[in-house]
Amino acid sequence: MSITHPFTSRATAFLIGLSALVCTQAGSIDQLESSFELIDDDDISITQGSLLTTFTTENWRTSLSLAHTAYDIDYQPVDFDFLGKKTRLKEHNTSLQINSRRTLKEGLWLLLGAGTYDGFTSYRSIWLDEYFKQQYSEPLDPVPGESYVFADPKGYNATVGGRWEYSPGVGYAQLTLSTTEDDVSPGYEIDFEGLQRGDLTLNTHSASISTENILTKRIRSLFELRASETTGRSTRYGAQLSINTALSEKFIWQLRIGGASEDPSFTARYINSKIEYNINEQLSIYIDASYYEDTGEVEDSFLFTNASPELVSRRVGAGLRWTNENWTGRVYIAPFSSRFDNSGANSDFFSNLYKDRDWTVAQIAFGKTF
Amino acid sequence: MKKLLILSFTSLPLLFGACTHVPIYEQQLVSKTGMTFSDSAVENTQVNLASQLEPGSAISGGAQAAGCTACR
Repeated sequence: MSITHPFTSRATAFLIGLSALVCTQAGSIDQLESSFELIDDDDISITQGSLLTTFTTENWRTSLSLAHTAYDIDYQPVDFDFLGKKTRLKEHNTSLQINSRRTLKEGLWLLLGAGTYDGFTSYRSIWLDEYFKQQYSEPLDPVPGESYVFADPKGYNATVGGRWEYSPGVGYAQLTLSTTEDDVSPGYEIDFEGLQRGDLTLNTHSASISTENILTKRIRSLFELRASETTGRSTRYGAQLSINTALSEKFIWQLRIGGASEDPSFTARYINSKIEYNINEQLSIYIDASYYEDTGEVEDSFLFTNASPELVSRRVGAGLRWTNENWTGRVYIAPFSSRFDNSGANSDFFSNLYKDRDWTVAQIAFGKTF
Repeated sequence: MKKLLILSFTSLPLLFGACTHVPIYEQQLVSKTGMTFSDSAVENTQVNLASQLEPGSAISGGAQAAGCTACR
């Protein structure tokens, strides 16, 4: 059985048509960018290529982005999973997003956005879908209940908001409201009533406020506060503060700290610090370090759980940015370690998914301004 | 208490912004590449795919990303 949602294909067609219309009506293209990103470990590889263009008409400034993500996973069940078998999983995700800003009057803008995607959105959902397929494709006599359904993840989103520049050239505040509908690969669980299947479609409503300010002639800040509510879950709150400081003519320090929480017990915290050095007007180098920790996914399981246990991850990387009159290029590479605490979790069947990994992260991006 | 802290945290940049006014001719340093907040892949150095590994750093994730039935 396939999960389908007719609105998603209509939304895709609408967005492609709208994009084509906007492109042909574009007064001038301001920017064209392409980027490539890789996260790789021994058994999982994720690559993403994206194109971004920004253009301006009389009252509108629009950005259009197209991204394609490829997943390559060596699926390995645990030794005591007698229904499981090794296999190679290759999946793809394609997404299209359009965001526009219209000037209503001086210092006030209307923000509109829409997007759609087709395909799995994470390596975890691909791994878990394969696990459920191998376990529950055949009837589990005498266990009653639901059965496995073929997963066909896709979704769309829409955003509306406003931006108010309360201090011209120095500070603004922004409010956005978003709605997202996702056809997901559902989870499965056996309880007293038999095999239970999770929701096939999840709806998420979110609100975000942010404010960006030039605090001094050397410091720029951005603060974001978010709240989102997804089908069957409590509200998730998130906050992030970013501060960019020009330490001197040649040194820039960027600091980003943030966190998220969701009842009953999910909490995440992270910090990223970056130092950039301008060797000359064309060339900059930078190093950054990140730390992330969370308490594991919110869960209330019966026998065993596929929810991820506590996680700590660290990253230290180095990059280079090259700029000339119209072209900019950037490369970045970093080792990235993720460590799960499996000691208290009853997630033995998923220990090959939630195992410690040492990833390599690489980015290449090129941009041209017109 | 938690909400009060968040509210204070939120209002801090606004208060700073309201109390100071840096004229355009003094914004040379804060307008450099690397000092602005941008969605551009060449200016913004964040790793897009990091949210795959760190689900709490993005607004999405959680049950949807993990395919988790037990998540509430």
